[in-house]
Amino acid sequence: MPVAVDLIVAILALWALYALLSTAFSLSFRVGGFFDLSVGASFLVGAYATWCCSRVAPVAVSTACGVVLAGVLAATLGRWLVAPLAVRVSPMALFVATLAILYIGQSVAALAFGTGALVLQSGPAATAEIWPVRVTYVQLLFGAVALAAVVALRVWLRSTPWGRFACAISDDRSLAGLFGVPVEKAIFRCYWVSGILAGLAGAYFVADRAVDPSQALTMLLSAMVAAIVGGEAILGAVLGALVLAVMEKTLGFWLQGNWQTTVTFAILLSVLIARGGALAQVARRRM
Amino acid sequence: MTDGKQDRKKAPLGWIALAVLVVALGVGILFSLGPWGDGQEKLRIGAILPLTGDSASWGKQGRWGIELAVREVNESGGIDGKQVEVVYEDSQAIPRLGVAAFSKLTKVDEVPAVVGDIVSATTLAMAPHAEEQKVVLMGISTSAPAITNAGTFTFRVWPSDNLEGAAAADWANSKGYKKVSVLHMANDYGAGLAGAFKSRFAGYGGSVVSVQSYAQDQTDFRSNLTRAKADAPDVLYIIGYYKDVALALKQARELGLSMVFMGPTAVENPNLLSIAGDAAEGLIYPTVVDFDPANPTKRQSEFIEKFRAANGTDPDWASSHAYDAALVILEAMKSGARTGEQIRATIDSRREFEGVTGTIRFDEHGDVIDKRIIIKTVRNGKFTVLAGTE
Amino acid sequence: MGDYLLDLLTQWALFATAATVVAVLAEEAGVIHAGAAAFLGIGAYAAALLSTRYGVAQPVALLGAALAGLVAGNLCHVLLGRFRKDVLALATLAVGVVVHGLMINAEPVTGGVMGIAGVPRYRGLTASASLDATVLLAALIAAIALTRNTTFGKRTRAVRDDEVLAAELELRPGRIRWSLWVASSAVLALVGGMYAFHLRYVDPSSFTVRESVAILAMAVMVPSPRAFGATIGAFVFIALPEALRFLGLPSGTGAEVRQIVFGVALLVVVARSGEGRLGLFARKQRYA
Repeated sequence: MPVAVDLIVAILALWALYALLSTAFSLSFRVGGFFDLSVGASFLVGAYATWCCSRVAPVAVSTACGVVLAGVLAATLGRWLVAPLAVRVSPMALFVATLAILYIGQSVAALAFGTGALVLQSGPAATAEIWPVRVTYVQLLFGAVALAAVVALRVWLRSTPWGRFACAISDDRSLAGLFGVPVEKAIFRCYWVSGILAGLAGAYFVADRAVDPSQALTMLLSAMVAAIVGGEAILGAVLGALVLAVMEKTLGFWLQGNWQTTVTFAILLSVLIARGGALAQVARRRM
Repeated sequence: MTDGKQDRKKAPLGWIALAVLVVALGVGILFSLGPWGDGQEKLRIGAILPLTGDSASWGKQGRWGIELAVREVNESGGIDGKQVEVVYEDSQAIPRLGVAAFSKLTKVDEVPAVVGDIVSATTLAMAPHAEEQKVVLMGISTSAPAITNAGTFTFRVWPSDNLEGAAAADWANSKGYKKVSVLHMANDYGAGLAGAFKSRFAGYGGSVVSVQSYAQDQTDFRSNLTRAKADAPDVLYIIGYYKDVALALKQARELGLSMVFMGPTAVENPNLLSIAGDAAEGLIYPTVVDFDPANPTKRQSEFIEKFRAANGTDPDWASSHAYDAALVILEAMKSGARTGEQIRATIDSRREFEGVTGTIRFDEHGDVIDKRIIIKTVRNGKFTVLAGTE
Repeated sequence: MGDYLLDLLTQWALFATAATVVAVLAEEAGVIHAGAAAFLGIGAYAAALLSTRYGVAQPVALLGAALAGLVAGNLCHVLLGRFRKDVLALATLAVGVVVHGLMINAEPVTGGVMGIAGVPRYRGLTASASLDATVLLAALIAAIALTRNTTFGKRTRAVRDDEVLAAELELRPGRIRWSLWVASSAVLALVGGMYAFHLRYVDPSSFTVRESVAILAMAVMVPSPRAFGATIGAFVFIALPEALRFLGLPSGTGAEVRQIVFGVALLVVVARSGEGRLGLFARKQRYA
């Protein structure tokens, strides 16, 4: 029984991480219209900035710091690098450009911090034990944060003007423009939100595990899968994150050997096939 | 659709950048090929290490080890009055890049011998090319069993995984443990050690209740550890590098696991302690090297002193072995060998060298044999020899 | 130095061929192939196994590799034939991951994580890998140029632009997709086979998602009407980092600095390629 509980805790803890990063990616992807790998760079900034601040400040403050910096980076990159490119090149070329941004981000992190792993604090984290549940305070904190972030995002998307603009753009950009949506400004705000979400994921990552530059691509991959599997809505990523977390943890437990990733993706593939990829496009592109 | 003004602004910038790059490249190529320098003829050897990437911390240590060995030779007059120079290339521990680096070292720099790599996979990839180019390849910590038969030009100063895996099994058996769970990294290192351990342990009648493997960049081991918790073995043998073992230990404690933990030699790295903290207490690991920083021989003390003075930190297994790898090649060259074939012949005939990791004795496959095994543990935040196992 | 440059040329030509395949799929068929490295791997493993375990002569082993690719491509069409756009991209990514996982786990066949070492030196058609690879690349580009304006090429673009209409006009989009899958997989596998003999070591770490992403990036970063773009992309990805070795950067940070320079170069290339160029998901309609 304790084993099942441990697994559930692990699933929820992982869901929190994936939810944050995949919604960040989903927002950027569905509003921007291309695979935005620079979300990985925001993730790294969130992680490393939090780590830096934690050398002098308590965890909560450091996290806030890291997250804000991640948002700043995303907004800056978006405004000065990605947006100007976006009017000139195709979405696939934008994907390459953001890949380049990720490569650069990784190398800068490696130069500044080395390629070794960095942790917020050494040794096992403080754990809350209410038998049979064992969960670390970090997991509890960020689990709550992830939940709050998802709820806040939903509210933002549904009830605030900028959020609704974002939804409109993700549905049909040209039409949104025709109806008077300030497309560029809305996209800029989305960069902020996406950056903050990715930064939160990074802060969680360094607090709960250990960060090194190569983790960005790995995590981003899972985030991308979650975002696309979750369906067409921006918040579909949350569901996709849950599916992914469940699969990873249960397969990691049941399967011996290194079948975990293989089977996860095989199941993913089967889900997609079963769902039946119809001729309808998943997200409309710019016309 | 396109912004003409931006076009004009960007165009010259792009061309300027390109021009700068081309000029820099040209200068660089000229420098590495031309007879520049102080006019003295130098003896060149090559070194391929993971200078960047995930294994960079060992690559860095390895480089320092090689530098020290070469510096010692140069300071005592060089070889036949000529100074020795090392050309370093970065493999990032990726086989494809290792082969490219090897190609450059042998075909452009024309070195007769290459020290490298730290990681077995890269060396395995380079081995057939070493055979083809007739260049000696001296592995530093390449422990995969497959390297034994990788070629006549491929040597190593670190024993095969079979030795370490067996040593771990021997120790577990000597303590009377019967059930072991193995968690290993899914690469040649993890799989090699796991396999060697498993067959030896089974030979003692022990049972390996589960073998799990994890992807190289995995950071969350909770489901694997929950499985281990469910299996309830006496020992959990975690085979990986310091980062994943540290994270696994940390998460294991958080999950409340309390069995005995074993690890491989690779865990002996201060970063393990800085990540795992208290969770590393009691970790047991074998070292198949004759190098115990707490109990050094005179030669080893000198080595540690010089290393510390030059690099500001103590040497670890990567640097001590890199030093010895370079040493063997330099010793061979001291007796007159200059080409790859000559160096190979010298090593094959001499067979025995004295290094900082003890006596380096090669067998006919180029493997090092007769290495002592020391079981060590983490006690009070330090790597110490486990009592009663000398 | 000459030999080293030939090695580099071989690498470049092989990756350029793979990237060209992916580029053509993206441009002409609207298919984003995010799992190309897996097909390279299928060919590499097939060729390596045939020649090391069964002692098959190299040209035959290469043929075997292409056949393996053919079979894999067929299987992919069966599984993925009905996907479009990003779901298809994700699906190809998934295929790549699954194949990579099989490489690691099917130990008795593939040697697991240890891979297959000691693959014989390239002998192929001529004794020179660089020659064969360059010839292959040139042949592929020529073949693409020739088929672009045939009925098949036009139909492919019609299917890309409006599949529903294409089906109504009885252009048989399913058939077209099938032939694209099978042909591209066979070529990728052939390239993989040649790569195996050139590198002489086949292991799963050479065929991961990162490699697939890199090939995709090579393919799309420089759109060009005659499929030359991928060759330039491959140059940026392969030759440039190698060339940067000679910059004499301090080795402790060399690779990171090279990576930064490389990233900047990528950005510059992408930015410059955007002038007036139509790429995937273009605004304007393209007419065959």
